[in-house]
This record gives sequence, C-alpha cells and structure tokens, in this order.
Amino acid sequence: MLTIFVYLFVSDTENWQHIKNTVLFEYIYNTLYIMIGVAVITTVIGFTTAYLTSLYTFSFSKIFDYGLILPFAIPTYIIAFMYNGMFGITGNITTFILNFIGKDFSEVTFFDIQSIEGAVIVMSLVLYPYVYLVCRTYLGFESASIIEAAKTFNLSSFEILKKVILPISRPAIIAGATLAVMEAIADFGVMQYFGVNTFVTGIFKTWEGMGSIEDASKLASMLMTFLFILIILEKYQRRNKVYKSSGKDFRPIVKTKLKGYKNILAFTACFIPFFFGFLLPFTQLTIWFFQSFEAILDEEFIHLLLSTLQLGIISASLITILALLVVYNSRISKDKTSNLLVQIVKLGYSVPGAVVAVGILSFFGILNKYVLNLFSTDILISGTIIAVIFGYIVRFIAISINTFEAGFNRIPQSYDDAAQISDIGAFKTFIKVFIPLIKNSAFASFIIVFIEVIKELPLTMVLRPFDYSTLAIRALELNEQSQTIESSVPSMFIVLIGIGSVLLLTKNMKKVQNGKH
Amino acid sequence: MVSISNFSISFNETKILENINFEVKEGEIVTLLGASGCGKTTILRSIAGLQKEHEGNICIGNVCVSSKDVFIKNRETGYIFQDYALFPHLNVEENIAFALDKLSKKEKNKRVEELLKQFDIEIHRNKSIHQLSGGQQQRVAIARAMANNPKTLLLDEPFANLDSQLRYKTKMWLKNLIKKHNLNAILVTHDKKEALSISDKIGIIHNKKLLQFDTTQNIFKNPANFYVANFLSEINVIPNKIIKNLNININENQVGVIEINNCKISTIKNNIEIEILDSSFCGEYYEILVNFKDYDSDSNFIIKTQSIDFLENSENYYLDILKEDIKIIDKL
Repeated sequence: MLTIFVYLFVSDTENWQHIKNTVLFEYIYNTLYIMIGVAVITTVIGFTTAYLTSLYTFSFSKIFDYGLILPFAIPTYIIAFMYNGMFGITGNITTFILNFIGKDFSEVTFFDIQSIEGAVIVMSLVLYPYVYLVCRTYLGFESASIIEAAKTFNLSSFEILKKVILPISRPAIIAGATLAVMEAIADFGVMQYFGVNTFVTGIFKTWEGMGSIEDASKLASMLMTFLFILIILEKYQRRNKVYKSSGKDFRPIVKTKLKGYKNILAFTACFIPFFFGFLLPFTQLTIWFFQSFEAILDEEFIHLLLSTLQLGIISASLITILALLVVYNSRISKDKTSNLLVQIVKLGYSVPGAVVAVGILSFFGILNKYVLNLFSTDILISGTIIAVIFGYIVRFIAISINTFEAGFNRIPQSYDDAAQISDIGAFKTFIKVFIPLIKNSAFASFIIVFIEVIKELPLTMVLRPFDYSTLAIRALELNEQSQTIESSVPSMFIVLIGIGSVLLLTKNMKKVQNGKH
Repeated sequence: MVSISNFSISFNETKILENINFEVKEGEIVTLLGASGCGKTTILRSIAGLQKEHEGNICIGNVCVSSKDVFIKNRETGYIFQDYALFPHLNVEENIAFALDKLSKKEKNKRVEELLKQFDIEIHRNKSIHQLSGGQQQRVAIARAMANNPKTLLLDEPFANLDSQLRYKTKMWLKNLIKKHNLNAILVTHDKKEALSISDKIGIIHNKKLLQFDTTQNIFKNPANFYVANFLSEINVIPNKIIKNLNININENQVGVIEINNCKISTIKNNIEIEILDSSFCGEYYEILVNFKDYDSDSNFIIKTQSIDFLENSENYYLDILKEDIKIIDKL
C-alpha cells in the first residue's frame, strides 16, 4: 500500500493530465453516485427486513431468517449478468413483455439496466444483507432488553420504531451500510460489464489501456485516501454510540405474531428483496445452466473448474495458517507493536482488489528495478501464480484474522494460565489446547476466504499468468462476448459454492453458539 | 513456607501494588481480602509465575525468585482459577492428566486413578466438563491443581461460582484437605465471611497497600484503621462530640466506632437523643435508620432490633450504648 501512496506525491505525467482533463470528474461523480445510491437502498431493504424478522413472526418468517442472507451467495457481477439477460435491451423478459403488449422497442420508454442506476439497483439487491445481518444481530439480541423496556411504556409499534428502535439502531445501520458501500466502490465486474466508469474500472483501464502503472497507482491512492476517510468516519460515528443491553449474555427478543394485513405487509416486504435478490436470478441462472451446460462442460471447462478450486484451496489454506499464527502470536506475546501490525494488516480488506493488484505490481516493479538489479538477478514474480496468491493474502487475510480473533476472544485467558502452570511448553499448548478450541474458527476462515477467492475478479485479472483463467474471469469474458446464457455455467458453479459455504457457515455458527468448540 | 517481600507491580506505568510483605507458614491458610480490582489476584499470579515484571522477591520454600527469573517449574504451586479453566474439549480424566505431561504413561494413569478416587469423581471420569455441576467442576479443578503434589495451593475466588449451600460444604471440605496435606494455601476473595471462616490469617489490601496482615481473631478485634474495621464488620461511626462527652480521648485523625450489634434504642432518657428516619424488615431482624438530634453526623447510623412494636409507644428515643464497646481507631 505504501508503494501506492508514494504516487500521490509524484509529479503529474502527460497521461495523468489527460485523465484529469477527461475522465477524472466522471470517476468521482460515478463513484459518489454509486456510494449514495447503494447506501440508501441497502439501508431501506436491510433495516426493514431486519426489523421485521427480529421483532415479529409472520408467514414464512423462519424461511426469511436464512433466505434473506442468500443473496450474499451471488457475486455482484453474476446478478448483473442475470439482470441484463432478463431486463436488458435484448433480455428475455423485455422481449416477452414487448411481444405481449405488441410494441416495438422504440415505441416504449425503456429503463436501461446497463446504466449507473441499473448498477446501483442490482448491487443493492445482493449487498443489502450486510445491513440486514448487522441490524439483525443488534435488534434480535444485543438490544432486546432496551426494546422490551420501551414496550412497557404503552407505545404503539410505530412509536417504538420511531422513538427507540431507529435511533438506537443508527450505529448498526451505518456500520452495515458502510460495508455495503465499500463493497460497491470496490466493485469491478458490474461496472466493467455495465460500462460505468468508476475509480476501480479507471485503475484497470489506465493499467491495461495506457500501460501506466504510475497513473493507475495515482488513481488507486486517491481512492484509498477516500476509503480510509470513510472508515475513520464510520469508526468515529460508532464511538460510544453502540447501545447495548448491560447484560453480558444476550438473550433473544420475544417476537410478536403478526396477523391479517400486517402479516401480508411484512411477508411482502421480506419477499420482494428475497425474490429479486435471490429467487429470480437464481431461477434464471438454473434455467440457462440447463440450456447450456452440455455445450460448455467440456474437458477444458473441467480443467478450469479444477484449477479454480485448487487456487481457492491453496490460497484459503495458506491464508488461514498465516492468520492463525499472526493472531496466536499476538495473543501470547501481548506486544503492542505486533498488535498494531495486526491492525494495519486488517486494513487490507478495505482495499479494493484492483488497488491491491496495482500495489503489488508497483511493489514488484520497484523490487526488480532497484533491489534485485543490484545482485544482477531478476525474478518475474508479477504475472505468476505466486503474485496472485500474494494478492489474495493482502486482500483477504483480514477476514481470516477477524475470524480467529473472534474465536480466540471466546477462550478465557485462564486457559493460557492453566496450560502455563502445567508447564507443557508453548508448542504443546498450541497443539493440545488451542488447535482443538479454535478448529471451528479455522474452518470458518477457510470457507470464507475460499469463496472470496473463487468470486474474486480484478485482482486475479491483473496479476494472473498469461493464459490462466478462473471461473469468475470466464463468466465475465463470456458475458462480454454476449454469451450470457453460456456464462451461466461458470456462474452457477460460483453460486453453488457460495450457497454451500453460507450453509456450512450457518451450521458452524450454530455449533459455536451451542458452546461446542 | 511462602514469603513475599517488598513486592510492587505496575501496569502501563500505573502502580497497582506497593511494597507488599507477608509470610505463609506450612499448613496455614492465608486470605487476601479486598474490593474487586484491588490487585489481590495479581499477587496470586505472581506467586504462580504467571505475572512477570514485578519488583521485590517471592520465596517459595528455599527457592527465591525475582521477576527476572520467572519460571513455573520448581515453584511447586497448584492454582485454582476463578472460572476453573477446565478445558472444554477434554473430559474429566484428560483434564487431570493434562497437568501430568512430564510423567510416563503408566505413572500418569496411576496418578490420575489416585486423584479420581481421592476427589470422589471416579464416576465422572469420562464426562465432558459441561456435563458436570459447579461443585463437581471445582473438584476436577482442585484435582488437577493437586496432581503434581504442590506444596502451595493458590485459590482465586474458589467459591464464587457455587450456590450458598454448596459453598459452605465445599469450604469445610477444602479446609480439611489443606490441613490434611499440610499445604500452604493463599486464597483470594472479596467476601469477608468466607475469609473469616476459612483462614488462619487475613491480609487486607486497599489503595495499593497491604493495610493489615494478622491472625483472623486479631484483625477482627483490633483493626488497624477505619477501612479494615468497616470491611470486616458491621459498624456505626459515633460523632466525635459524643465520644468526648463520654470522656474518651480521641484526636482529629481518629474515629470512634461501635459494632451495629452493640447499639440499642431506648425510650429511657439519656444524653444521646435520636430520631427514627426509617425502618425495614430484613427477615430475622429489623434495620432502623436513625439520626442524632443534637449532634452532626455524616454517616448512616443503623440499629438492628428484633421488634419495632416499641416505636408506637413513645415519641422520644435514645441511643443505648456501652462506653467499653466503643473502639477508637485511626481514620487511615
């Protein structure tokens, strides 16, 4: 990251002047537009659904508990492919409607899904679970006693919502929306496919089109400065404002049963995001998958599938082992510097894939130019699988560290002391005490990183070796060649891996909640 | 014997404990008593070798250690943690065997058998920790702490997780165990009743310092200052003016106190007239809050009575105390 920030202070090149005069304003405008649009829509959907499923039971509400998380399993670019295939100019649903009303394309007012507005909508449909999950945990458990206290004052449900729930949920809403916004700003696939120029696509184009790593880094450093400000603002707003029940052990809230029209309204409010965020695109994906899999599933595709899985397994294993060592070291050493380093490493996740890729290219470029030349040697790490995995480590180790930190925090310090008193040594303590207690966190870390690697697009595209591809890249390429139906095969594998991971994680989470280590 | 001399410790440049000195003789149970967060557990952890960077010396038997040579082995201590720290992924037998890693398999099995029998937990040997009651968990924790035949037992709030009935039984059982094995035991608690009933000696820690260290009877009868007296017993503060009227010598740095049980309300006139502010039913007795009519007092003055029927028969009430029940102690 440091190599990127250096470019903030490097004098402007000719290319940069060109970028500044032509597209820079567009990058800024579009990035801000997406940020605000996604924040508003994900907040409305995420909070409403979290509020309803946390406080009430209604028809199918138990299914929505999980169903509303499922859009998470669909990467933003795949939902963009699906929506364009259905509602785009030549989309099957668009064609069906036009045929049905007997009109031609030019005779109707048409909402072009391949636009910035379309990008905001499709991304919000799969990013709202960030707000949903954060608010759900907060409303369903952490604030249960506050909400129950409000109920004793004889207020109507609407008054409780307005006077208590909304104000106390604000930090949770902002935390969830910030995650969604960060993901949207970092998005490459949707923007590239919809032709929306943002900072991230700009970085990619500058690197690929102009061949200028310096200017790409300059754009990346501007984006990073903006993102860090966003992170700091979010952390600042959360300071002292997380209203939690005083109890240590959270108790779930007792839900109220909704009847009559309220039941129908609540059902509809949850069904719409579930339908558009998961059911509709997934059904379409399934239909297209069955229409095209025979043609696509050849030996080359199987090879692509296996190499993607291999990449996922190797990267996820490596990242999980590294993160475990980092967190364990920080626990036993209690050293302030190593703790600070862990916090810095954790910032990696807030850095978009495209920025990480440019950072790594710059870093290896400098390494080759100034350091290795001294020894008359040149290693070409860029453009190798090592660079790709290195990129994944930078980008995803934070997720793994967070998972392990949560796991280690559940282990009382007295276990360390008890092991120390028994004098069995640090290595045996790690193997006999911590490994068995932390294995669920390791499993969770592996699964989350694995799916992130499988989904990842820009970082792999920039750093991959020549002729190397993944399921995600293949899906994008097929779509760019207008082979939307065929693209459903790689997309389907990505989504199925995603759904499998979400289900495995939910099961794992329940095990942890039940106190099984 | 365990001896602590000139012991001080700081966290992040903040002094937590200053110049602590005390000794625990063989077969003696010593309790460190103080409010939560006063640093009592830190002393225990330092004796066990878990806390580094302290000043002063800790001697266990013939081995003296300073903070620089922190090592666990040779200390011959067993530690019972407040939350027992039993490993949830191991069963009862494995938890006990955990402490015996250095022994051969045969020796280990033999020792585990002995401990399971001694602590009456044989039938639970294959159970997971979460299948045990609080009392059973504590027995496993003590069995593990005793596995290596320690000479000193360190107990951090050992009864905190037990209900009141089990607490009494366990306390007596543990006391007998310590005496039977002629161990030194250092116990840490904030519960004065617990401290008084189990200990041979008590140390009171407050404001970074060991305020008083003495036998249980001595510390109770002759508290060094107001904090110790107030911590160990239920007392009332008598206004200095009353003390002087009773011809008792007292200076500005001292305070006159009397145990609540030695205070009575009388309707027969004397020099200390009081008014009744409140009365509350506490089960076996009533607690009456009073105020002095002619004397200024900052603190609550509480009197316990068996009945409050007499309150309806009179309008004037007087404090009935004996001069010899009044103790004059230092404020600090």
